[in-house]
Amino acid sequence: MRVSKDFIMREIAGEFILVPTGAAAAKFNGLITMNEVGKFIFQTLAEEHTAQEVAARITEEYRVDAGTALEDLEEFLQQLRQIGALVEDAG
Amino acid sequence: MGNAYQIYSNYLFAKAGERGIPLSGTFELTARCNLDCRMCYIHKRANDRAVLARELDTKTWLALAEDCREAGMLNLLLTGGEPLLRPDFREIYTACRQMGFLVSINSNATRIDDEMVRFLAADPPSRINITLYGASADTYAALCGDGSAYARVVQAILALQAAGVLVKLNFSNTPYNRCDAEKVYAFAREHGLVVQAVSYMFPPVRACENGCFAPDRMTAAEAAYEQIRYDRFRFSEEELEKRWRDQLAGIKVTDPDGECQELPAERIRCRAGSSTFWVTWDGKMRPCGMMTEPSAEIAELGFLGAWQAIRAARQLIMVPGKCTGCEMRNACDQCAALCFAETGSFTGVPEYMCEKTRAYLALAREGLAGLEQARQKNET
Repeated sequence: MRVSKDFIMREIAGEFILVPTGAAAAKFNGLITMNEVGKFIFQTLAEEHTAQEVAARITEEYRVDAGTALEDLEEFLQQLRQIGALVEDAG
Repeated sequence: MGNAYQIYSNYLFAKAGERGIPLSGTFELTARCNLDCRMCYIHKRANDRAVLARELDTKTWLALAEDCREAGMLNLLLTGGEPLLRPDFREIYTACRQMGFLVSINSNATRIDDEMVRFLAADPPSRINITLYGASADTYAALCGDGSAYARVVQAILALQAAGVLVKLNFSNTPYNRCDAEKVYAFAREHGLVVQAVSYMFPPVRACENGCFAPDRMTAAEAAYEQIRYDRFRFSEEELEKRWRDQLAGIKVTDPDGECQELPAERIRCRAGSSTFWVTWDGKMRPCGMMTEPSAEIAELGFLGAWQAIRAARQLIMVPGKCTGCEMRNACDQCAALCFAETGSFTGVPEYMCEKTRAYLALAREGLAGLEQARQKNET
């Protein structure tokens, strides 16, 4: 999976914000805010990775155990799915 | 975008104001317009070659946009004049979206054809604000000098809405179109559109930079009447009653449809020059589009230099002492730009607005009495 190129990440006044453009903006008129870990996940998923790979990177970066990292990651990925920000292979 | 968005937006503006970040900007892409509205504050004709020659070119606007992005701008309003007059409008719009701005557009919608609707629908602006000047070709002819525009504008509004582009209507009350106010509000209601009506017209300070009186606006009493009419349209009786009681008691009420969000300060009260700025068609930065001062040349100072100059100059602006102690101050729409436009000085008392506010409060008092009478009648 990877994040859609239709979402542009901005750092403004210390906040991490996703701005939808193109087809994504046609479906979602607004913006998404993220915390530091969300930003890290979004940046990691600029390239294709599995959830396990991303979770592993989170554990390296933030000193959390693999189970917690995967759980939090899934919650965030679900939010990205809801706004169409995640591109996943059908297979 | 709902309440949560508004709360977050207010939070972001507060943070930006504290840190000196230009969160919101306006690019006035042109001063020219294909309509010829009598009350226009900027008022340059579409074929004005002298103005055209001084407009910033595509490259300059896009370089400026890059500087704005670097500085932390999130919201961008593209306006004019009529911004769609520019042949490079699409190029500028697309580039600004790709930079990650939430872009909104002000337009008279006369140049929005099916192709433009498709273009905007493919990457929609946060909102397109369309001024609907009336409810008939006759009104458009009288106010804007082009009766044929009316049908085109209505068609564009409906086509944009059908294509999923968020449309907000603006309605500017003038002596020439106030007869259509109810019809415009009814049109908005019928189509589920938000309409923001204004009854105060700035003198055309941008058209004649030294400030001159606008003969084509309503009297203050007429403006108050139109403000009441708009409030009756947008608020329930219950809401109106509370607002009027508060205003008559000197309590500040917020305007849910207002664009200028006031901060509780004694000097300049809005976000202009604190977290927002305006760039004129010829490259001057100002706190807001209704101000001719303070003004900074971006070509000379660069974007950040101009922003710092505007921020510093804003701090020095004082509002009239008489206004800060006025018992009507919380019902009054006075602002620094308005004082300057009306009197040529930030500390000048804008008598027109005093009259309008006095008339508005008198009408509110009458309105409250009417509501009370109706209630008593229902009870008996």
